[in-house]
Amino acid sequence: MSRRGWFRLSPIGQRRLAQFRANRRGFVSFWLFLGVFCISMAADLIANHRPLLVRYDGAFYFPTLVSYPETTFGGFFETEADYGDPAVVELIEEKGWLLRAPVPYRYDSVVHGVERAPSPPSRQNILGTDDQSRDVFARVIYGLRLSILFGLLLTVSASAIGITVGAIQGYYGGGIDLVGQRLIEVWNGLPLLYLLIILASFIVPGFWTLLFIMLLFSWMALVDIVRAEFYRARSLDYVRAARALGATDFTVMRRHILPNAMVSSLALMPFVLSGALTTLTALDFLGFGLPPGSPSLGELLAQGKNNLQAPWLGITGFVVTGVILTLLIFAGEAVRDAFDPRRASQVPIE
Amino acid sequence: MTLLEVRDLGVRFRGSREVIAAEGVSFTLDRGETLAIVGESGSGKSVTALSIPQLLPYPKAYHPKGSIRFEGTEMIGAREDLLLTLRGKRIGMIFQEPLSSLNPLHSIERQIGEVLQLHEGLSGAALRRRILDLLHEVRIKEPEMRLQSFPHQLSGGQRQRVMIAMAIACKPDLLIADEPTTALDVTVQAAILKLLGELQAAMGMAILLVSHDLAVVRKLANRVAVMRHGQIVEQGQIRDVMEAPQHPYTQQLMAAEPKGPPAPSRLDAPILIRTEGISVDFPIGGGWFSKPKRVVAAVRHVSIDVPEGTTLGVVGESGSGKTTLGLALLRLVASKGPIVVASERIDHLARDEMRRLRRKLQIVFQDPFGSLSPRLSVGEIVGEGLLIHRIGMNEEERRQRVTAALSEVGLDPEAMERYPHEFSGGQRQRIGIARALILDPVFVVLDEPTSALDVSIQVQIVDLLKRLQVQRNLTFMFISHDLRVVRAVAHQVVVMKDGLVVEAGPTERVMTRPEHPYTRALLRAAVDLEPVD
Repeated sequence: MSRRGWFRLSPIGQRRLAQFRANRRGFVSFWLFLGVFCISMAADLIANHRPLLVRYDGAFYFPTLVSYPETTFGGFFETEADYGDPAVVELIEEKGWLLRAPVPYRYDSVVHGVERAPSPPSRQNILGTDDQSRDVFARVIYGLRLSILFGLLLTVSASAIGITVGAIQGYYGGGIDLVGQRLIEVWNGLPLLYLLIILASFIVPGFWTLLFIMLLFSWMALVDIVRAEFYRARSLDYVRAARALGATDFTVMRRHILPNAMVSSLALMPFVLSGALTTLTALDFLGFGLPPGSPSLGELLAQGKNNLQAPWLGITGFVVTGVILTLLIFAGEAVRDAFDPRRASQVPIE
Repeated sequence: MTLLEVRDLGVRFRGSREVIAAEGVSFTLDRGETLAIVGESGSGKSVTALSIPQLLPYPKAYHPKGSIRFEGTEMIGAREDLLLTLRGKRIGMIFQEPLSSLNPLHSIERQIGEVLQLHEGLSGAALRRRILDLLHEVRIKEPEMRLQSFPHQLSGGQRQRVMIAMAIACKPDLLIADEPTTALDVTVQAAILKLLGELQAAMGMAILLVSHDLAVVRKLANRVAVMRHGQIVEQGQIRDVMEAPQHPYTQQLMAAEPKGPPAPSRLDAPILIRTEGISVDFPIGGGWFSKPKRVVAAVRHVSIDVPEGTTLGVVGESGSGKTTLGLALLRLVASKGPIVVASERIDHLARDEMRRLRRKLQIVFQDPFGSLSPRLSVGEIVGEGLLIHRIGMNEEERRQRVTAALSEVGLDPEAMERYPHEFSGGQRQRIGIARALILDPVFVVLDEPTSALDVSIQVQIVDLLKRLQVQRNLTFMFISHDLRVVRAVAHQVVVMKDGLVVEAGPTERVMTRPEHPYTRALLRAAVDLEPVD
């Protein structure tokens, strides 16, 4: 019937998985995307100016999790230890050792000893530094984390709202549908970019406010397609059969019509996600996005534009943005195909 | 010289798994003669017919061997320009579904005119005159009025007549008719068959008839070829094959017509379902604030009584309101008038109260492909009612009930984990029946449950329904246009026309001694395939 534990997939689930795996391009893209996502989630362990682990005087310290004053390691200042300062390192190594992150910079740490920012890629900064002398690689993986989380949150919430609204309009039709469609048309006419520019002039948008504002204007993406599916499906025989069984409107919508609408929704979702990433990048590029100083792909691209003499900025921004969007679309296609049972078998010809 | 000679023909489809659609098929056809190819779905009969004008999806389809000679010209591998001159001009074709075979954006004049312009180079007044002649020939009333009509404005029978007019426009030597009457009502079917017979007599063309319906074949064909699994198992003069079939499959096919008496039941049992003059109206047109332009009365003042454990047959042609009546009884469409189920009036019940009763009143639909949700597994489809009505304590118990329901309708319980599209039409219909039965209903509306199935499958489903009726003392309402099936299942029958009941009574009486002229016409068309004017 259904759901027998999360890990014991039903045969149907197994077949969907097999179907998904059979699409090599999508499957590989999915894993690559997942890899990028996991790496960016672990950004704090990969790129951090604080050491991951300090052994000092017989005790262990975790500077990434806890903030220790310099006095802990026998220094003079009550402020947090600056692990980039050779004096502090020397103090620690006298009585122990320290394990550094592979990239000893965070997105906001200033790289010392650079002649002129932006500096080209070197052994110390594999992708160079930006115009404020910050490590580009560190900024890219922190930026990816922020963009992907933002995109996922926006996609999930926008899809949830869009599918609900589309389902109600399509299933009930009539007046609800008519009023809903007209409202959406008016709402769609509002220009998101100008609104954000106006809003940015009197509030500084943070992560959540920006998410909320973009959600206000991006939930319509799925409404039309879900509405059309519901409108078509509500008069089909199997929906009638479910009503004859005594199913409530909600059950009919969720069990019988939604799975059909989900395929077309899933087909659109990678595009909504990549659209969200693109919009966020565009806003950051223009300077109306996340607060200044936040790591972001758009800001990197803007720096690339402003510093044409430092091509590593623009090239890095372009390659990272392009690759992540491509992976998303390939993986999304594979997911969509796996959920469609009619794609699974070859249709025999009589 | 024979007109058409097919020798040792094979048809295969390339794909991940190669499909052998036909193999070793041989037959000949002379002018003025009608050969029928009979078989069930998937037997390769349509594929064989379509390979004559080389209309298969090449190169996915290919002929590993064999030859098709039309007037001595080899068709397989013939140049495309040769085929183009033959198709439409020398070989005409009629398909099953006239609505999808006609271009919805072209008027009748343009549809027929196109063939004539292409092959005979007619134009202007001459073209128009010829089109009118053709419409007259296929007996379309008031042809002048119909020239500018579009396909959707015509009835099914008229559309099929237009198709025939297009097929015979260039006086072809061979007419290939692929299930020409399957989508039509019985009275229309009789008229079309008569028309085809007359046209053949007048024009002397050969007809290759593809059909699953033995009655149609018997009516029209001189010779018959029975196909199964892509091979011709028996071939011969119609009378010989029909009266003394040699091959076991042919014998089985001949015996496969639903017959036998309905399940033994007592008509004096207490009344389970009663309606007193119920009506269903569909408003057409009109906006929100204006009145509807027109009201279509789909069901008009219908009163029925169904005793417990019996079957009421509802007979009528498309548009007679028989399906609407069934939906109204289950309150799936809004109706006016009392509906009484087991002495409880249900027509005023609120939605929630009605939901409680739904368990007792079930429905099985005609189209076994549209009535099962394509994205749910069979187990989920059949088990849904249990979840809705909170029957069964846990997953395991519900699973057992689904297993039992599937076995009861003759399906392997393994089917539970599979999706509907993996099943054949007959199996899907069984799934639909299992879905209705798992709730242990007292009354089931069967809306054309056998119409979309092959004859041998029809018999199985009819037998299954009869067995279930006896075992569970079920009350059925059996909606059908097929009088033979109704006769085999129904104890009482009502005949509907334009939303009205024109005749009602015990099945045997209505079938043998019909009182109303419409019933008589229907019977004549269905049994003798003779039209009544």
